[in-house]
Amino acid sequence: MIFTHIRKNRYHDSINLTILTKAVNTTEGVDQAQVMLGTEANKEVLKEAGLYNEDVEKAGPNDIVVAIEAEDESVMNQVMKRVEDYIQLPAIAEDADALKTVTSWEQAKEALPEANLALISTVGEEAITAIEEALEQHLHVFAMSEEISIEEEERLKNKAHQKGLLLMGPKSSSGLISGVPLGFMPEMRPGNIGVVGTSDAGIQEVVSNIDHLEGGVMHAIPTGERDLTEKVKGTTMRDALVALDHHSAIDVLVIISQSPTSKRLEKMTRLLQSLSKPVVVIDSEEKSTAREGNVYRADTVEVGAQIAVALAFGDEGVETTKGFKEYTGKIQEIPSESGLLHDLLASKPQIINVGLKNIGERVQAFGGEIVHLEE
Amino acid sequence: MKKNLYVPSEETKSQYLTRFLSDKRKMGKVHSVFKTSFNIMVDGDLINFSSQGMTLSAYGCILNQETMKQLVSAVKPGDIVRVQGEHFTFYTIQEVLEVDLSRIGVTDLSIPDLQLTQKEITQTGMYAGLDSFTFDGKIGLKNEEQTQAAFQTLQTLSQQDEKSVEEAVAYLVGRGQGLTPSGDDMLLGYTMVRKAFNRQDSFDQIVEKVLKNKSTTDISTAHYQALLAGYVSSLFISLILNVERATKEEVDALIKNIGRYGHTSGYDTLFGFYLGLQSLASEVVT
Repeated sequence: MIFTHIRKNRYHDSINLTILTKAVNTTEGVDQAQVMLGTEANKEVLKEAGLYNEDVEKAGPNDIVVAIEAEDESVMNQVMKRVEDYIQLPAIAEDADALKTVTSWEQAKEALPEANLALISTVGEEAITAIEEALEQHLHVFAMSEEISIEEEERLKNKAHQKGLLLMGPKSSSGLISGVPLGFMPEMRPGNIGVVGTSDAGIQEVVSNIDHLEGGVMHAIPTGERDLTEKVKGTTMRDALVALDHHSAIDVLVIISQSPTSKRLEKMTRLLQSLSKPVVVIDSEEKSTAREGNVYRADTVEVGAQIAVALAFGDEGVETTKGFKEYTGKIQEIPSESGLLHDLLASKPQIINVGLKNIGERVQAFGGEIVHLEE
Repeated sequence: MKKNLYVPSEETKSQYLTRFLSDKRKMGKVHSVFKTSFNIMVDGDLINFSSQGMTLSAYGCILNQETMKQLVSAVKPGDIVRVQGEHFTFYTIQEVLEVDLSRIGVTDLSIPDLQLTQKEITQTGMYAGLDSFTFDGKIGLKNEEQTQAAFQTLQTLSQQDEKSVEEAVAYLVGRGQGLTPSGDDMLLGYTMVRKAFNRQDSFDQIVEKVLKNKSTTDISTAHYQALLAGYVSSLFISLILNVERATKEEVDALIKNIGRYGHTSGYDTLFGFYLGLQSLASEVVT
């Protein structure tokens, strides 16, 4: 069935809405979705897609049309929450002065001397250039960018690791650094859980479940979908886990990855077992819950979130269906975190934004700082 | 510092608070936030944080104004708090804030024993001051028949059977508006003065019994728990100590100062305190 919602006079840049459409399509229960302005041309697109009704017909060119196909109307509530989180703040197109804009990296560093994170949403070669420059400027990177080859990803992540920096992504659209939501991440209650995930939808889902259980998440670090491949070898995942393990305000770590997870995370067993904090691995290939040594494995996001929140609240007797098995393998020494990574997670991010301008006020609303770089 | 009022001049924490703290990690939430103080709830126990210049809560601590300003501006109800030993971590939207109470001293807020005999009560400046004060229009309960009946029962406690006392206490628990309903403040004032005079008093057992079946606000509950364990805030330590030493004129000033606390809380507690003195004095007569 088709369900629609029209947000009157909420103009947003169409590129932003394209990215929002992509995010909305990952919502559970959505068969297909479009988020676009109600221009005549877009209405034709909606007609072609079978997402057209009376409400869409009446929408104007400055209205945002949210149209979905789903079995149940309740799915629209989830979709609208995502949409509202994203469009809550005035579009930068309406309020261009809200975000300071500079035209070079030097100016950006001058405007924001404490900058520690580059948020990059350009694509392809442009994105690679921007990521390189950000790393040269000793900035961690949150890369929403697409069209970056796995070879480039490997190279850039190795470079980041050498410099003690974190490259989150590419193609990451949801993250949380020191309580500041990035991309499409909804606002989250801060707390003593840290999340690392290869899947944006997975991160959003686990964070949402933790929030529902009244737990809190301080950091949710996306690694990009290919981080755990043979090529990239989990560079970002490893560095993120080590940093979170050193973080004094974090007590529980959660890992979420798209399947198959078991094989990809097997090579990290020694690392996971060596961390000082309990780790909850959400793995859909598991048929039940299990605990081995320091690591809890959960078969669903809901169960994983329950275990994480119980551990976060100091419950030392969390039981699993397969019970407890002692870890008898080797333990490794956990390396020190890089000073730069420590600093990133210890304070609100100071961001140089390259690409889309729409996140400025959201970052500032949560205590971060941001300047926009338009080269 | 107001004359005759015990307001700690340094950062400090209540001895009673230290009972809640252990090495095992506990998680709680920010419960309520005010202009210069806030409460957190951990495992069903309320812990108060107040700024220097305020009175020390029986279940709380006093921190310097700069720290409290930072905390009050950042914390909001529902924020997660981690407690490990005396170390508090506040997870706020603005930032993660840490407070370490191990660096500050302890203040004993246990209810002092009064050396006066009950016979001497009506001779004190405290009794004279409270007796001459017009509570009508100042306290938070209206002058209704059932309310007057409850007061009457408490005034003449030694002449009442346990059932009547229980009913009067149950009537007052949770009665009235606000974070600490007037009925609770009156009972607190009443109970604390009886405990100061007579450690073996069974009245607090009746209060404890009623509280098992009748609920009130979280803040009143925290006050009751501390009081039943023998602790009150520094403000009321002052009040109790002044029973023995203050002149009527000093008590008049004390009443004025305490009356400023809360909407009617100060006067409600003083009224309960006065009823308590009357009940003790009437025991002497009989």
